[in-house]
Amino acid sequence: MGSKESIIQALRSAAPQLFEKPDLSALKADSLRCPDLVEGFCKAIASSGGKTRFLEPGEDPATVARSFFPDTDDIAVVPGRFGVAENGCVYLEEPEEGRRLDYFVHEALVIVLDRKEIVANMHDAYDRIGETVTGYGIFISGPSKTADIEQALVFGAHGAREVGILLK
Amino acid sequence: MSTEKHAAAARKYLKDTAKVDWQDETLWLVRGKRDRLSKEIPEWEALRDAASRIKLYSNSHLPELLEQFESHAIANGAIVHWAKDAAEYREIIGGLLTGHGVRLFVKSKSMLSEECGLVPYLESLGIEAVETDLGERIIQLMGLKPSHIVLPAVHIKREEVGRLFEKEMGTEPGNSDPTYLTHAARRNLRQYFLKADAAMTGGNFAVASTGEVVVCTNEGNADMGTSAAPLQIAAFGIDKIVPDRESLGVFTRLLARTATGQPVTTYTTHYSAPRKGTEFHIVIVDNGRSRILADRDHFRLLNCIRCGGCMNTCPVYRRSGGYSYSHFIPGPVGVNLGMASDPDRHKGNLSACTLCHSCEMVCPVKVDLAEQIYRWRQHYHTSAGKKAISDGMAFLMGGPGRFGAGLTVGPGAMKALKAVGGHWGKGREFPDIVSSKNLESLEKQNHGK
Repeated sequence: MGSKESIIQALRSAAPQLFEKPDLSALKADSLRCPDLVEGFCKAIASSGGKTRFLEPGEDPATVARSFFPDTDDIAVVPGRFGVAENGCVYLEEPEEGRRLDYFVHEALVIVLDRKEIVANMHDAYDRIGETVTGYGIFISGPSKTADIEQALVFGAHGAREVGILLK
Repeated sequence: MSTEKHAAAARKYLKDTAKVDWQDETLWLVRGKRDRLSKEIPEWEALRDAASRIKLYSNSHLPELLEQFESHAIANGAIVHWAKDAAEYREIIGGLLTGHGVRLFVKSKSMLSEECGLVPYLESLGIEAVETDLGERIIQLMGLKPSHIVLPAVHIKREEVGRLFEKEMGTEPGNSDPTYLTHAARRNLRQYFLKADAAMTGGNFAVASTGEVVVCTNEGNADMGTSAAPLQIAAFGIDKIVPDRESLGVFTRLLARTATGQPVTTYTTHYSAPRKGTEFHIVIVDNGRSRILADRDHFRLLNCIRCGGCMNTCPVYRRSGGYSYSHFIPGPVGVNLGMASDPDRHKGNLSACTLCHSCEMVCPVKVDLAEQIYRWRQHYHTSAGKKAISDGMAFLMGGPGRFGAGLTVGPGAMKALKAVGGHWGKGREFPDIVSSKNLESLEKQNHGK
């Protein structure tokens, strides 16, 4: 018998008490939703150490990104699919040519996001993604950080040191 | 890590009183952050309830959910392996790495890899295995083990890290500024990320409906490794299965708020298909979990999402440190996991609980941690002394006559109890009972006035 079969058999013979799958609709309906999603999102990004700025019509994201982080030339500008107001997350999918490293390896990461594409919380976020599999997806909320030395918060552990969101 | 009893190990730890106080305050600070954030969410208790019920559902339906996960993962292009125990887990990963000619291997934090002894095994195969989470790297370079599951180096002072990095990374002598040291590690570990032949993560969640593995981190080390290496491995215990993405909405709201007092981790990465031109292997591990599932008194342990919240709140963990426990996972959940894996070896940890139940109030998935410790205590005694004192208490409490007699005998009885009390007596104050002035007689006196 293979290991898979022996694990499955052990699980079946464990014969646990069966529990029903809970219905989450009441929880989701009653969950925290800030009245102004854009304002909530910008606040959450600020508290996670990131920056936000509105992109005016006609402005070039790459040029604005450079003025956003004048201290570095190492900036990636990527599109985000939607934001989450409760925690400042932005959802990004598989980048072009599978260059996932672009999201992490640069000193600064600038994500361009449509300001109409902001949901209230993680329940709405996962409803938005649905069950479709695209190969890769990531929520990023602000710059890379650590507190592994005496709980002192430091930005720029391994991923981008700075994160800016341009809201078009 | 010691196999001696918790109380004996803790006595050594308690000698450095300044460090004990510092550690206690640090962990309590994290607990405080968790409290602040949880109170910002009006539906917090409903979230905990939902998380607990999702886990009870998924753990009681593992055969079908695991099969569902596997078929989706294969359809996504991943290669799925099953390991019934630690040895098979090590062999699968070792085999993959040697088969691909891997010399340099980077990994992110995974308690499963600690559980199964992965790094020493890979080193015996001649593979350089580099921990890339900053705390784990500090611990690895010091030749130590994590003392906390989320904050592995929480017991290390900045000066110790400064001296370590001076030796290992050539940082300035005497500089122990956390920002300076973190950025030195950033530069140092980049070379490993970009050169590594393979990268591995654990898994916070494995989604049955999509076949994806979800990894939650703050530093970006898991993401750097998996985005650069030509071979990616994700390994997780069968208890990491959740039914669908809707469930992730619940867990991602609870995990970081409870673990470190943040609204969410910086990165929540969903891995389903291999990156273009690379391989993605998934290892599903049992290693005793199906046995826990069969145990009616302890199956709720499988709810645990390894947030470390129970450690931060535990008065015994906070003041005895991670190394006082014989199991590699310390604190309330570690006491229980140790008993579930090898009770004879880990029964010494059972004394490390005051049954204050604070862990159960904090646990985001409502594991009955203190109740389980209580149940273990019904079957195992930590020492002959513990047994003697509990028998003695049972005798004293056996009837009002005996209790009263014990009180009037007073100091003599208490001295006798202290003598048999063993570890329980040390460091604990027994009430002083003044001979023939017990509460009853005091009360009579007062009423007589």
